[in-house]
Amino acid sequence: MNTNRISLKQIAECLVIITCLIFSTCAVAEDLFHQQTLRIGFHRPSFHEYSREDLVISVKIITEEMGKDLGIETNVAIYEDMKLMNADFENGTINLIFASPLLIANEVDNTLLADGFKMIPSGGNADRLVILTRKNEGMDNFKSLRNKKLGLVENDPTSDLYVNFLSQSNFKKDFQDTLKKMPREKKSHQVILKLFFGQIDVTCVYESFFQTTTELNPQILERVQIIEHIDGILQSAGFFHKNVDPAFRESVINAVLKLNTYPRGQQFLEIFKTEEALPVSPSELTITKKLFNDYQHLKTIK
Amino acid sequence: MAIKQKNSIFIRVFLIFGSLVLAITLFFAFMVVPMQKNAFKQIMFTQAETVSRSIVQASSDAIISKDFGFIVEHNVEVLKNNTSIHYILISPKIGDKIWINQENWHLIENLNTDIAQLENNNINYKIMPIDNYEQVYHFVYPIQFSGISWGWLHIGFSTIQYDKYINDMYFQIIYIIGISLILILFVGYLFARWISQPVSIISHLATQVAGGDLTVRSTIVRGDEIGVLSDSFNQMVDSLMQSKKHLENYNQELENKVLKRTQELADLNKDLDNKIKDEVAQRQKQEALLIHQSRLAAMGEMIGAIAHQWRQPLNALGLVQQNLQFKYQMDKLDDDFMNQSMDKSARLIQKMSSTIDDFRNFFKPNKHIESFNIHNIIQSTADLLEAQLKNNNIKLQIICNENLIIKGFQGEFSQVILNLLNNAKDALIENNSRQPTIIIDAVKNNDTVTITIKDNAGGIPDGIIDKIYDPYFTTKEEGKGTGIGLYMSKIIVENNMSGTLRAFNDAEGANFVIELINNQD
Repeated sequence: MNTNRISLKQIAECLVIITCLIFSTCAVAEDLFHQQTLRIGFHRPSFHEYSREDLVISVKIITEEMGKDLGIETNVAIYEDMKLMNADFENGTINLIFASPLLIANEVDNTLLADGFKMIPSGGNADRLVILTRKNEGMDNFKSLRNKKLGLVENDPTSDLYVNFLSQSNFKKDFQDTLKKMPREKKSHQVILKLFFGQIDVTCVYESFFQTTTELNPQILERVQIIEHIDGILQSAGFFHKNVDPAFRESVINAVLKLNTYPRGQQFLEIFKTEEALPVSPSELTITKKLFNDYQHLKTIK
Repeated sequence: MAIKQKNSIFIRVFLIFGSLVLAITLFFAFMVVPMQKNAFKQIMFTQAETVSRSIVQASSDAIISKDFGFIVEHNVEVLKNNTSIHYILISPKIGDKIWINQENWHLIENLNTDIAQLENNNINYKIMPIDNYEQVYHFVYPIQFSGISWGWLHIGFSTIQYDKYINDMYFQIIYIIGISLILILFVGYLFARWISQPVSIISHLATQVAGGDLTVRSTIVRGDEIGVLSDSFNQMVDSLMQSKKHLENYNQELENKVLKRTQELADLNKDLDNKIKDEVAQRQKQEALLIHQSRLAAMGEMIGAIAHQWRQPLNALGLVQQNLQFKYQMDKLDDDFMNQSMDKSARLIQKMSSTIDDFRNFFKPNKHIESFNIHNIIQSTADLLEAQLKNNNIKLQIICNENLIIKGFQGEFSQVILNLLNNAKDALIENNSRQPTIIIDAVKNNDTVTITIKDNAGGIPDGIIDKIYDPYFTTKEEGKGTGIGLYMSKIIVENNMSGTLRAFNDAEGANFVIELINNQD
């Protein structure tokens, strides 16, 4: 039945069309990377400490203003889905990606990453994750925390990873099986307060947030202690696509690093509760990746 | 006379209007202050209550579940969004209190007394200093669920806004008062001018009219009392002008009449002057005649007196002659007798001669003022009448200081004394008085010398006492009196000696009192 059969010619034609389509798409992507415009992608869940309004409105406006000063066109896109953002990053729709370092390390092709910058919150070590408990209640190491009430922040996979790593290290189980999981809070200081007021027994936050919270009430230091910590875990960072013109990248990074030198830039930093921005390279994701690998390793050896 | 123009009505109206408006403005302005303050407090109260209710409602679940973390976070957020709130204090009945302010938060065990006192079942507030805040509107809101008290929410509001409202209000009041003052000055000036200017104009015109200018007229035309005043003023000036014209005519007429009368009077005066001169000359003539008559009368009386004086020496001289004749016939006329007779005769003749000298001296014209002894004059004058007084048994008593001296016309004074003595003598003789007596009493007082000639002849009849000084008035028999003695005596005393002569009766008789100025001292 000749009518139901697909001829080789037709198959060849289809292959030619598909090939053309693939090449044309690649050509379009290549064109996007060559456009000297700043296209930022924000993974909003990774910025759980900050309000969506700040990200959507303030960041967009101030970024556009800064772009005008630099003489470049800017565009800010807010993503709820990491995979979608990753796809746009790969095809050049966005050329600067902002997300949780753990997500970037695990879900983004790290070979596509180039230098970028990170926002440094004031106070404490910005890249240190700490485990907090109350003092004088027999919760002085992780081993003593079995069945204790754990409070964590929403959308912070790094904290989850670190607690799981410690739980695996001490109890060879994930924390869901060793600690009482309490409802998550949106912000770090909220879980610190719950810890202070005895609603939870243990939490994991970046030390900078802990520091900021204790500045508001030094009494917290009298009641709360750090029993574990890990350094080198980036809170959040933005990386350029490697295909972006290095000179363009450099000019943008330099502009961001100078944000703290003028009022509008300081206002931008204020949105992220930071005092300055620092350059960051993809290599700084190493410890996060290592933590993830170590955790995976512990999980597999039981 | 120039009349100074005044502006007192303008000033008074301006001041009264200005003071009144200013007083009303100030009254309302300062009445508004407490009302506004209360209103601001009420606004603060309402605002505080709303914020408190909002916080409690938002935190109710957290409060019930004791989610203090949420409470802290929520209130930190509230503070962040309300810079007018200094602090929030969550004060549960049991447990630590949470103090949250703009910079930090912390737990406190106990409240200070001022704040703790505000915790009861009612909403309370108090403006007071707390911590580092100088003044805080401290609002306390009781937290209750289903009637069960959980604790209290304290909120410390900044009073900056309140103070700003108050300051703004004061500034507005000052602004209003300032504007009012300017308006008062401006409107008050216009109002005062509107009231006073026509009055001032009319006053100025009236001043000109008062100065004699009747050509001025008021040009004010208004439909009110001022307009009526203006019309009335013009009518008044018209009337004045007419009256002035009438007066001028009348004056002219009067002047003519006065001129005519003056001429008539001048003529009359001229006649009168001539008449007076004639009268004076006639009177002088008459007086001279009178004086002459008086002198003649006096001379007549003196001649009588001489006769009396001479009667006795003449008789004695006759007796001497008879004795000489008798001695001679008796051939007994010897030298001694002859010498004695001749001596006696010589003495008698001498006496008679001296009598003539006395009379001659009395009538000797002496018309110059000189000092003389009153006693001596009275005595010498009395001596002239001595014989007549003796013949009629009239006793003469002279009471006078022998050293009493005055200045005047001596002869005329003697004539007055002689006249008064003569009158007294004649009255005593006529009335046949018992123990007829004349007393001459001369007394010196401080400034005067008073000489009283008093008799006891029964006095001057009342009906004639007012006429005794009239010339030619006499009560004596015809041929005995001329009626010019007292008249001349009064003339001499009052005109020539600047004294007075008066008469009165006492119980015994007439008293003639001469009062002269004591000009000797």
